Amino acid sequence: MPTNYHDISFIAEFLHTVHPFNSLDSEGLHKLARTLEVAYYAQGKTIFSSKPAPGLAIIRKGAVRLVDESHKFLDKRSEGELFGHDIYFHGETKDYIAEAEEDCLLWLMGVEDFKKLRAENKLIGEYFSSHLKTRLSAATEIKHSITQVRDLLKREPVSVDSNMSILEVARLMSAERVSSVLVLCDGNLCGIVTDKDLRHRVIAQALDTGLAIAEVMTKDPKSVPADADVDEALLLMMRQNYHHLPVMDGPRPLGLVTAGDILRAQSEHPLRIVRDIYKQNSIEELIELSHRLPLLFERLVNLGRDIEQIGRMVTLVTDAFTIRLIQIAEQQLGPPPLPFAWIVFGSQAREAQTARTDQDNGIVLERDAVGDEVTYFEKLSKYVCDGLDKLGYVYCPGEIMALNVKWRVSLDKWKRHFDGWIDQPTPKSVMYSSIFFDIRCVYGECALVDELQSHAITRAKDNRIFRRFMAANVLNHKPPLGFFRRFVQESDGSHSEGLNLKHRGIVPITALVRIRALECGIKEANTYRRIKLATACGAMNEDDASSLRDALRLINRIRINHQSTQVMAGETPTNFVPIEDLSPLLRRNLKAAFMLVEEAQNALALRYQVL
Amino acid sequence: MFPRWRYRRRCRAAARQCGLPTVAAYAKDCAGLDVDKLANTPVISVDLEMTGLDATQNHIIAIGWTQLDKGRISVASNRHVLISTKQSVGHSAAIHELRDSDVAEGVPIEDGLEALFEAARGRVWLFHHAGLDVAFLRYASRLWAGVALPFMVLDTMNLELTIRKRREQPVHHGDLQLNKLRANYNLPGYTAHNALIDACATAELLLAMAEKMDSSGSLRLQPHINYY
Amino acid sequence: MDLKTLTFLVVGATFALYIGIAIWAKAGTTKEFYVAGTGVHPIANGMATAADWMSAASFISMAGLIAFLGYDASVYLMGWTGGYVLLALLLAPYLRKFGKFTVSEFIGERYYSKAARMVAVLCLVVASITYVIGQMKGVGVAFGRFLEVDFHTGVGVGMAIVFIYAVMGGMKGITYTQIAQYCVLIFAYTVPAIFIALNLTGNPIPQLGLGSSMADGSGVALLDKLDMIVTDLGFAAYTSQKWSTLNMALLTLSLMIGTAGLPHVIMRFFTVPKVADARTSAGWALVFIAILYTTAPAVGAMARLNLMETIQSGPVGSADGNMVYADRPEWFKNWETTGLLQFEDKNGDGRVQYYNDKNEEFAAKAASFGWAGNEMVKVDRDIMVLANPEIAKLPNWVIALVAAGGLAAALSTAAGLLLAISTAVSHDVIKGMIAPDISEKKELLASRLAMAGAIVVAGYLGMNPPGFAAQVVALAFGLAASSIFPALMMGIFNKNMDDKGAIVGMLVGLFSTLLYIFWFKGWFFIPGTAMAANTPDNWFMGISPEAFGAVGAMLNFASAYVTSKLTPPPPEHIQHLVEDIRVPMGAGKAQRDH
Repeated sequence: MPTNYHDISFIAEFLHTVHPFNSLDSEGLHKLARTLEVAYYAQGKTIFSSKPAPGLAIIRKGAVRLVDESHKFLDKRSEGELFGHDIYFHGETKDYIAEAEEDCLLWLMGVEDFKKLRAENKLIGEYFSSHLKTRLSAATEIKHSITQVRDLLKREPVSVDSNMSILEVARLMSAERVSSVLVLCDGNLCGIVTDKDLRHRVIAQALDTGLAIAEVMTKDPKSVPADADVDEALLLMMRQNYHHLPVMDGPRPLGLVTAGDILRAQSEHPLRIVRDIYKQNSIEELIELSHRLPLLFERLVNLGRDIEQIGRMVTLVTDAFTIRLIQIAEQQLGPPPLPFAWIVFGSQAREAQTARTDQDNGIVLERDAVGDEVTYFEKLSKYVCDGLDKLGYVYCPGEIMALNVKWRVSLDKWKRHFDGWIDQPTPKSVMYSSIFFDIRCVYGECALVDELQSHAITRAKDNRIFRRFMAANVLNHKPPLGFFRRFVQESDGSHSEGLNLKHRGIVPITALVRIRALECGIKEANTYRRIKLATACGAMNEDDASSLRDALRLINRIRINHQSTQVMAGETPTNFVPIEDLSPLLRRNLKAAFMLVEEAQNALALRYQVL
Repeated sequence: MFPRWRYRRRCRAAARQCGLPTVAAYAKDCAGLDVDKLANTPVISVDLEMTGLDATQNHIIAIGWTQLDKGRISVASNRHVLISTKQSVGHSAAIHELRDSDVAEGVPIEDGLEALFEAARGRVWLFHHAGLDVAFLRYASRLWAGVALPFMVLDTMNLELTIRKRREQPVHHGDLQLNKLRANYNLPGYTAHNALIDACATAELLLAMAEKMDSSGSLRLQPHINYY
Repeated sequence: MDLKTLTFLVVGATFALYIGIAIWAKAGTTKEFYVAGTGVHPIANGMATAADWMSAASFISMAGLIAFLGYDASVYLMGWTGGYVLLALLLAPYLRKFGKFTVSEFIGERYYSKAARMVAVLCLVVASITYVIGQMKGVGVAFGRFLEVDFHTGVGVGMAIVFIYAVMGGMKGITYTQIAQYCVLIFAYTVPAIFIALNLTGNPIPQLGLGSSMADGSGVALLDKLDMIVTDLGFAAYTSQKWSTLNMALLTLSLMIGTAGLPHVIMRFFTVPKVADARTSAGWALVFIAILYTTAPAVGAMARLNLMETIQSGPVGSADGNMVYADRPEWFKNWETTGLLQFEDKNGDGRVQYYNDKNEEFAAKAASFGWAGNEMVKVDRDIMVLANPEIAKLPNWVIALVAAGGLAAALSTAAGLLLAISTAVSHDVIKGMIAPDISEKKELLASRLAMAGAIVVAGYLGMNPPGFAAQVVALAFGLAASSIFPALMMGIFNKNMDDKGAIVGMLVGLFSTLLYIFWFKGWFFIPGTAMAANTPDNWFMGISPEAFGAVGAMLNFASAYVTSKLTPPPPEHIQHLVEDIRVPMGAGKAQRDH
């Protein structure tokens, strides 16, 4: 009787949510599942007191107390967490006794199987290894096994030469039953033609079908390499509203993917919502859609996707809502009287949004608005900002919104804003700088934004005194480690105590990296990409950069998991994560991450002499 | 009277009467089966999916099982076997979510039973609400092996009833459903359902019940055994 | 409570205060994101700047120098005050416009040359370490006295504490800590001065007391009386000019222009966000600095008077006119343990004779009294401010307060300088030249090592000081003046100055000045290696080593100018840059925006 995957896939499914096993592919998970035994311990029972532990235990349900020989409390583990391996308690491994704090259903793995698992799987081996740095790295690099775009290709691409006539191309497309073809110039990809192009650019224009196809093709289409991540490709398509994306192997086109291909391949992809957003025609409909956001967030998190991508996907949805609102407003108010760009700041600009987010935005006008133009943009921004608020992106407490007339000005005025902050870095200026230097254009004349960025960033790059003020501000946000490197918990007033992961984790790293990016004059707003670029330009050492990136990933991962749990429980997501909610391993990794941040801050302080 | 003796006698008789090696081996071992506390008793937890409720009219379409040894469920022993049947699953699809097309991929009932009795050798059967499932198994195995095979059975539903009686707790409608019981014992809920998942769920429930009834782990199972 | 315990308590309390403020200021900084901190008021910032500015040299040593040098020492007051004004008005605004906050960076960018930057770093490190020597000396004196240990041990303790203070760092740079330091410092300085002024002249304001007449009913002016006493003992009149006018002028100039090259002071101008506020706080800083500087002459004069009167308690030459050694006051004994005050009973009469035995005329007269030479073989001038309250028999708490003030002055300055040195070494030299891809951890380690190294060097030289704290600091200013200042000035005001000119100029200035200093003070200040005695007769044109910085600066200017004429002019964009710096702030922006 053959065994099939159905036998244990329900076990593998749960394992997939357990760190670090979420790094395993399906086969690995099933293999792992088969080594397990299920045991039940009633509350108060000793699970094991032997040394060493009789293997690894996964808590399927319940909670376990780890105590030392004198029954002193060491740590608590709960559902989805592990014990039985070497655990660091305050920096050292200790033998421990495990007791069921609640009724526990455990999945146990024998010592031998555990050993084998570690030996066979590098990432998992590293995760359980004692070396701090490898562990930290393993803890964050573990991610879902990603399908590459290559896997989605069904057939060789249909390609035509650019000299072929439109008619010939259309016939070929019919014969091949494709809705798009790639156009080659001298053998290299130089354009793409779709059914829609033929409809709009040829038939509707009554164009001569004897013309060369090059006349009507979309020139130099965006493409992705074959090994690109599927989600990455989907993001690109959704952001740019492309329907077809050529997949390249070097200069050679391998085929075409469509957003539909990807969405079908990953049934119920969370990003379906983006397509839906663009189909809505009223704010009410959008609000209806926005109810799906909490679930969407939870799904993104639980899919175990790469932490960088979660931020980008959540942001993509926000962008889509924003753009759609602007479009609807434009339909109601008529076309804009002068070119403008809708810009976003802060986490939306950095593509690092999570469950809890407010709006930070503004408008860059080509020139000063006069007369009716003023009213137009006032109405537009009121519509969009109010709309965003109704969708759950609450008003910015600092009033950094297009709604505020101060942030709805001409390019020249924006430049003067930046000049003012750079020349006179008062505390308020520095605060603004830390928001406005993370800037991204989401709609409209993005060239305006580009010019603004070039101006501001060049000035900041040349002015070390300004950057020194920024650096001093960075040091105001210290990681939550007190004397003797103990965690410092805070309270946000309404909730119980916790580690303020945003203000003391994400903000310091983001701010540090922002300064490094300014040193190099980097326009990019996304922190991970900033790190990459700053390393390339020499402002950051490669080891430091990868450590900092891992630290950011880890902190983000913990924060996002926490928020996802809160969202699912129907609570308001916060940035305060109680230490008790973290396993000792996570705590230790988190501490290591914070120590890295502290070190980077010290180096920055030294560099700018702000000790 | 003395159901245990009767059971042993039936085991020995079946071993003599049946030529199928699997069945003979099962029958032989079941005669010598001794039930002690859970930690010393090998158990097989089984759940069936059927096209209906009548063992003589309806067919088994899926069998799921898992084994317990030394008080632990071994994931490696999990099996889920789909049985091919000519009979349409009909309305029962709504319960077990198996469609005709799924069932068509299954194996003949004989192969399924062969594997099941092989796995059940030397083990006490465990079901949640044993009556129905055992009736189907007895009927099917008689068709297959030619003899009515004896079953030594633990039933988590019966166990719960015993516990409630002992504690003088009332039993309300639906209280004894597998999922409801599991929730009472702080066991995780399974969103999906199939024969295997339910078999595992039942096995976990047994572990929890045994712990609850005697936390020293020395609960004697003998008084809770039923013979079919 | 005895003095030692009290001193520990007061010093401990002030440190607790600084740390407390530091913690208070750091706590609660994780505000909601959109709430910006409020700026520091210019007055507060002025106080902080003043605390930064006033080093051990200002606090401990300057009044001591005045006490013994008299009128001549006034150049220190003029030079330093003038230097501050020069820096605030002439240099800081331009450097700020350039967007660079360290001198080495400015030079590196302006002269588009790594080599120039390295030379600037070299000059800065040499000048800064020399400056730290002065602080070490001051710390050693303070610790030696209050721990009642040998001076060398005092320096050792000081080194450890300076290192901890500088590495912890957190206390510095927080404006409120520095305001507290200023308050402690100025209180510690003026309170004893007021008491003494009141005792001597009946006028509680020391600055006025200095010009008043004595309160003993004689009606003699204080300075006249002091002149009388010191000339009676063969010393030069207190108010007379002893150095040549040229030397005084050059020393003043060195002190003034050297200020610009010292890293920790210039930094303060860039910690204020608005240029207008920077100006206002510079003005306030000047006021706060002036409070101490104008008190210093009074403290010096009165301390000298008290000291002389204590030792020479009766008429000169009378049999019981001198203090009996066995009956010497407690402070005398305490300072003897530090080794900074030494007595040798040359004529064996058991009394202390303190007079100028170098003055042949008076030495002959002294011999007739039965005096066999000056018996106060060592009176370290740096002890004056610390000993002053004791000599004047002020209450113990005042004395303890002075110790706390002296330490505050020395520590804050030393920490600032060490930070600048360690950044220069770790960032400019190691990351900038040797290992550009160094990790942050290693960079931090390098900076700590550089700091420790600087402390060891400075500590060693602090034990074998080439002069008194203020004089050593004067050397530091001389070195900065001769090397950095010209490069800065030409960088701003001469668009044709190129990298080679600047490098040659800096090297010429630095090494000519170093050579001159070592010639008279010993190679690397090692005692006994001097090429000529450090006396005015040997000095080139009567210019003291402390004053030579101005000459070095001139050599620097000259050699740089000549070199730049011989080499191609700097690239076009640098010339535009230089023109741009000199255009006022608003105009420059308008140009850029076109």
